Amino acid sequence: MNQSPKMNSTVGGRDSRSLLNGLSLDLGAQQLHKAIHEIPIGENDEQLTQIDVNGSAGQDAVMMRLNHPIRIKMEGPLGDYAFAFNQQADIRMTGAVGSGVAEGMISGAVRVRGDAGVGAGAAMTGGTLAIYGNAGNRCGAAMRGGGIFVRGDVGDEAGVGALGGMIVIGGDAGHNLGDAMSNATVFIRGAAASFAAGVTDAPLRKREQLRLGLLLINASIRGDAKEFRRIVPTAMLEAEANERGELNPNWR
Amino acid sequence: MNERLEKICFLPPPMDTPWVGAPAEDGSIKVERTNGNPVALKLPLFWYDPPWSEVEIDSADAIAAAVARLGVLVSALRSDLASADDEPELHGASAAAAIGVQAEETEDLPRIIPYRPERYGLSDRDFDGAAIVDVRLAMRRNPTGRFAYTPEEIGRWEATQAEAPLAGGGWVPAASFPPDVEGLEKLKGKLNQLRLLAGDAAVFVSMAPHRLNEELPAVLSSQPDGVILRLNELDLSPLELADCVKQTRAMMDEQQCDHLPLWVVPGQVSAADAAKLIALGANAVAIDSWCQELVNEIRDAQQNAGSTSGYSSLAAPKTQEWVDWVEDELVRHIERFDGLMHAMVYQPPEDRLATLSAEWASRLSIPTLSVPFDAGS
Repeated sequence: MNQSPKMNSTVGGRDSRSLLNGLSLDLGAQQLHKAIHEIPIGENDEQLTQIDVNGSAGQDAVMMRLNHPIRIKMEGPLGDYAFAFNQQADIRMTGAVGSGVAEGMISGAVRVRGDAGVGAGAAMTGGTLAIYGNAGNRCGAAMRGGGIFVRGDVGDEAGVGALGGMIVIGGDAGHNLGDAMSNATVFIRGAAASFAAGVTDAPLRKREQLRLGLLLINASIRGDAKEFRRIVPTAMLEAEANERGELNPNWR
Repeated sequence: MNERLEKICFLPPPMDTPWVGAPAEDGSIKVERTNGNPVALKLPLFWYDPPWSEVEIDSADAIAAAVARLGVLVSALRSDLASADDEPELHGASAAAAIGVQAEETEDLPRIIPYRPERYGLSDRDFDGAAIVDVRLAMRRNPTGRFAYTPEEIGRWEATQAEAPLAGGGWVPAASFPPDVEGLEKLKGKLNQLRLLAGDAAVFVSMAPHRLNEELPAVLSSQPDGVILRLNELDLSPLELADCVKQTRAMMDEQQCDHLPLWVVPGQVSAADAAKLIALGANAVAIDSWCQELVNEIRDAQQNAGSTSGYSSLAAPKTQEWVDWVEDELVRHIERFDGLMHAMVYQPPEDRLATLSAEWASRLSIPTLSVPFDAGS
């Protein structure tokens, strides 16, 4: 994937929520970033100002470090590391994305109507990443918060090193699901090729059914939370069973 | 402090060298970046892997800023040095307010971002104002020998309620490679992303030396702005240390990367050792051993706060007195290093070092001293 210093982009309104109409930009990544942050925020918190961004197909590292409550629609496919370290922004894109989509996302949402490469949502600390296709290996690796929803399958090592947050897998998972995972939880509807050592499946508790149900609704996904199984570290499950919270015993 | 490279000596100018004034060059270096302006650094010295979790968080920030004010690059995340709501001094907060002294203008302190594969503790704001992004491609051992992070480190980075620590308060495994990079052949894309995230920083890759012949060419092909070689991972003899630096520099030159800085983490070194490593081909040297002495002193004082021995004033999390002490302790080493570096400039690079040992001369391709006694006698 190329990284062009010039991004031929247009920003324009498409519906009644938009405050912008017919504004055209022919900018580099930095100028586009600046222009997006200068767009006024709508007065209605329920309806974000929406813009379309075109012309970024195939590029790497697009739309990183956005920190603005705005909805952005765009067409892919995109290269690697799109939407890294974003806050507040609500991204809705169509097409495939490369590696590391939404790396380090802090808040907001990224919805990808396509497949994602390796390390989707790696090191996320908040927000929601929804992938309406399949995700590659190490989805949700080292995440520390937030939620990832993958409608289809995920590759190997999903959730590796995750310290917190939630990963919802609508399809199947590859090998070593949940490897080196700590306080994160994985929900899976299909089958896993293998669980990592020290990880087990368990029924959903009431609070997780509610949490998962909300995520499914937010992600506009049909299905019942009861169809999913919970994948957690065995030590965490034992701690729950002993009603000693999640403190004891020391997991490792 | 013992000298590891005492078999090597600095070669002064020949007797008949005309008297010339001291060279005008100071010790500053510039690191060229693939995109953008070069990064200017006051000294070719850096603190690679500070044990921030071993001291109180306020003390960690004060030490980091005190060391950085001397021109030494300091590696730290914001979460190493301050809670989420606070601004670390190393990252631009005024020191004065916290320690009750007269305010000075905020300085731009030289800082490295340790970009570990897992990114635990990393925030987006870490990228602002950093001089170097250090993409760490070597697994990290904790004091027990595991490839893991200690509960104290994880607790510092990812603040959780005391009754519910992450991983139940146990150690957390360390990663070997960034999980969002498909392989070494795709590392270039990650480095380019980091160049955009940290707009003013040079992007380095740090690596272990165990498979240097195979891994260094792969790292170089990803086009970093520099390489950090963690030689402290091996228990090297003095000659092996010197030879490894020399050979690595030669390997980089052979790969048409003679323009690329080679920074080394040698472990225990003296000021003279650091200067000799630079004369052997390194462009900057880690001084963790000098800084670790300061951390030990402060940690011990804080752990024995009731004791009247030693530096009792160090027991406080942060005072101007002990900030001054940190600077005084370190400046002795830095002055010596700076002086030796300054003196070396009188000689062309190939004539700066020599040895009495035929073995060292042969391995390092440096001259043997012309003296009327046998080497080693």
